[in-house]
This record gives sequence, C-alpha cells and structure tokens, in this order.
Amino acid sequence: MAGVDRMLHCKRNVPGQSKSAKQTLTMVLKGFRTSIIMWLFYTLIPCLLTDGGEALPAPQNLSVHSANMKHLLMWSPVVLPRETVYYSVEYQGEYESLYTSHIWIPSKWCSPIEDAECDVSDDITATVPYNLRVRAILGSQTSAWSILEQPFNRNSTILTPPGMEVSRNGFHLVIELEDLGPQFEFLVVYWRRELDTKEHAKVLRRGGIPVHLETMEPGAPYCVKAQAQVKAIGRNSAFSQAECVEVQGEALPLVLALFAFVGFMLILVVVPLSIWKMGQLLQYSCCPMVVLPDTLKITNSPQKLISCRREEVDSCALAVPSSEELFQAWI
Amino acid sequence: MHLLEESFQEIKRTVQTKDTFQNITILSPVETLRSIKPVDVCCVTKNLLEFYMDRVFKDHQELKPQILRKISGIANTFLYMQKTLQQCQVQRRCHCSEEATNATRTVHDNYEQLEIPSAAIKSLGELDVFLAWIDRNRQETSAA
Repeated sequence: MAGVDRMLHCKRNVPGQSKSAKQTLTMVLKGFRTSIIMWLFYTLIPCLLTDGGEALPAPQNLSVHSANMKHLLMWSPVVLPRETVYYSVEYQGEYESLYTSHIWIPSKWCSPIEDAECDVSDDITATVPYNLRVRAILGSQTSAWSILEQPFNRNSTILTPPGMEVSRNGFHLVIELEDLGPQFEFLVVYWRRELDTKEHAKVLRRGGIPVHLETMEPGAPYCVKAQAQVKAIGRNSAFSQAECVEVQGEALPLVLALFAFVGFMLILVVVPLSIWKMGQLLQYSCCPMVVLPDTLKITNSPQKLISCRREEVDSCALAVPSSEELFQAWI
Repeated sequence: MHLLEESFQEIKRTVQTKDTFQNITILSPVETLRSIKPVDVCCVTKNLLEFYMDRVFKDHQELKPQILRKISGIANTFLYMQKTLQQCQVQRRCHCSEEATNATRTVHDNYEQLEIPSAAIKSLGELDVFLAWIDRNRQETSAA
C-alpha cells in the first residue's frame, strides 16, 4: 500500500514537475534517435564502401587440364557488363609451401591475362605438387584469391602416343615425329612384316626432324611404331599404331630387263647400218671414183700411142688427141 | 639435370655479380668436392641439398620475379631429389662417414663466416659448382 501510495504519489506530479519530465523525455528520445542514426551510419558506411569489392567476385571452378607436359589452368570467367575483367595467376611449389609459405610467385605469362585460362607449363618446373591461385582485376579493384582445391603435380599429365609420319625416300625408310618439346624423347621400333626377323629400336632425342632409319630391301614391308618418354616424371606413353611402307623390288628388274633387251637389239641392227652408211658417205665425199665416159676411153695400147707420137707427130696428133687436152677442153 | 643447369645459367651472371666477396668460397674449393669418395657421395649430396633448402634459399630475399622463378624451380627440384635420396636412406645405402660429416660442417662454417645476405648470394652463385658435381656423380653411377 505504501508503495502504491508512493507510486501514486509519484504519478501525482505537480504541474512544474511534469514539464521537466516532458523535457527529460524529449531529451531521452532525441538521444535515442541520435544513437539510432549513428548506429545506422556506422553499419551502412562499411557496406557502402565495400560495395565495389563485392561487385568483383573471385573466379570459380578452378581446374588443371594437362596433356603431354602442357598444363592449362582454367576457371569460370567473371562476367561484368561493358567491362573487361583481367586475371592474375600465382603459384607456389611444395618447397615454398613448406619453407616459405607466405611466398607466392606471379605466373610467367599470366600476370595479368585477359583469357579465363593460363598455360602454366613454364611455371611448373619440378615434379612436386604445386598450389595455384587466381584473382580477378578490374581497374584498381581486385577480387579475393581463388585457390585450386587439389595441388597439381605434373607427373599426372596424360601422355598420348606421338604423331608420326613414315615415308619412303627412294630406298630409305624415313620417320618424322611431332615436336613435343625438350622434355620428350622417343623410342622408335621397326621390323619387317611377314618375315621372322627381330625388331630394331632407335632412340630419338627430339621430334620435328626427319630421321633415316634403314635402307630398305624389296620383299616384305617395313613397319614402324613409336612411344614418347618423359624422364622428368619417369613415365612413357603408349605406342602409336604401326605404319608400314615397302619398296617395289620384283617388278622393276623385269621392266629393266625388257628395256635392256630391246635396246640391245636396236643397237645390234642400227649400229652396223649406221657404220656402213657413214662409210659410204665418207667414201663419196673424200675419195670419189671417177669413171671416164666411153668417148674418152683409149682403145690402143699406151706404147703404140707414144711411138705414134714420136714418128708421125702431125698425123698422130690429129688422129688421137691426148687425154689431158681432151679433158681440159671438156672442162 | 641439364635443364636445371641451363636454368641456373640464365641467372648465373646476375647472381654472381652481386657477390662482393670474391676471395671466399663457401662450398669449398672444387678439389674438395672432387675428393669426396663414391661411398660418401649420397650422404654429402643429401646434406648439401638440405643446406641449400634450409639455409640458402630461405635466407636469400629475391625481389625480381624472373630470378625468383628460376630459384623456385631449382629449390623445388632439390626437394624432389631429396625425396628420391630418402629412399636410398631407407635402404641404408646412404651412410654418413666421418669424412662426409666433416665436409658438410666445413660448408656450414664457411657460410657462417659471412653475414646472411652476403653468404646466401655467394652460395647461390656457387650453384653451378654443386650442380656440375651432382651431374658428374649421376653419370658415373649410371655408367657403373
């Protein structure tokens, strides 16, 4: 009862006291309002400030695709309308993660890069697990780092059978393998199909260059297959499909023999004919045979002619003129 | 191995130019390394790999990305080599004799004679000596 009386007493304010209570209440309300405003201010400002950073999301779905020691880090692109987003890639070998864990090294070719993929083959230079991370860049803004879930070790690369071109250069068996870089060597195996001969093997240190394997003989075809080897990771690819070539030996000598026979027969006939003809030509051109016409032929013997000339010069001279004089007159 | 030596050759000049203490060697003279007996090669190689990984690469603060990449490549390859040698250790083929232990201690003592940045850069510059020694031993082992 006394408390209630006190309350009632308290409630029953005199007019002067109610005015100051009202003022107090107003002041309290004002203070409360100010606090709310200040609270809202302090909570919203950071949101306003970080609004730009949150608009640049970190790249997602990081993965590595690796084949023949070419390692490609890929991720889902960050797409912003009317904006070109760049990316920065960093890596950390197992050494760094164990001994200097704060050190991340910028990728050789991808700091920065525009595409949503990065060839990290020149960064991954040891056969240990590597951590990889990417972030997006837009002007002065950068996203948070996205890290590859599972560290990547280059010994997990897929090795495919090497591309191979087998050809014949005359009787030479020539092979050219695709150039896969300095990490690769190739084991080339070749044999003669259908013949029970052993296989031959040759190691090639580089691809991209034609190499002579063997000088071929006619008969059975030569078959070749090749395998890629990577010493740095101690692994080899499967062998390529065998490719075979052969030289046409049997038909060739027959044709040659036929031609040789025909040529020989021609020679047997043509050459003597030519010689004879040449001989005739030479005879006529160098030493032609002169045949005196009948009218110039002397029927009496030379002795009679000479004695005739001595005894009866005039008569003889008139009757039988000398052949030289006749000739000169005739010419 | 050749790729490793080629990798170092690209930064060798830059690194060795920074070495200002030309009269001192840390890795001991080449003759000392050559005098290591074949039976001690595994132990000395393992110890020197640890020396480089625990001290030299950690102590050296590299700022240029191109050189940092090459050193990282060498350091990670050393880590791979060390893992391989650990298999030898498991098979008890990597015993450390007194001579091998002394040779290792000499290298550490030489390193501590200089201040860390200078010691680290000098040891980095001597990497070609170490790599050539490893390569020679590897060839001799495969020829044997």
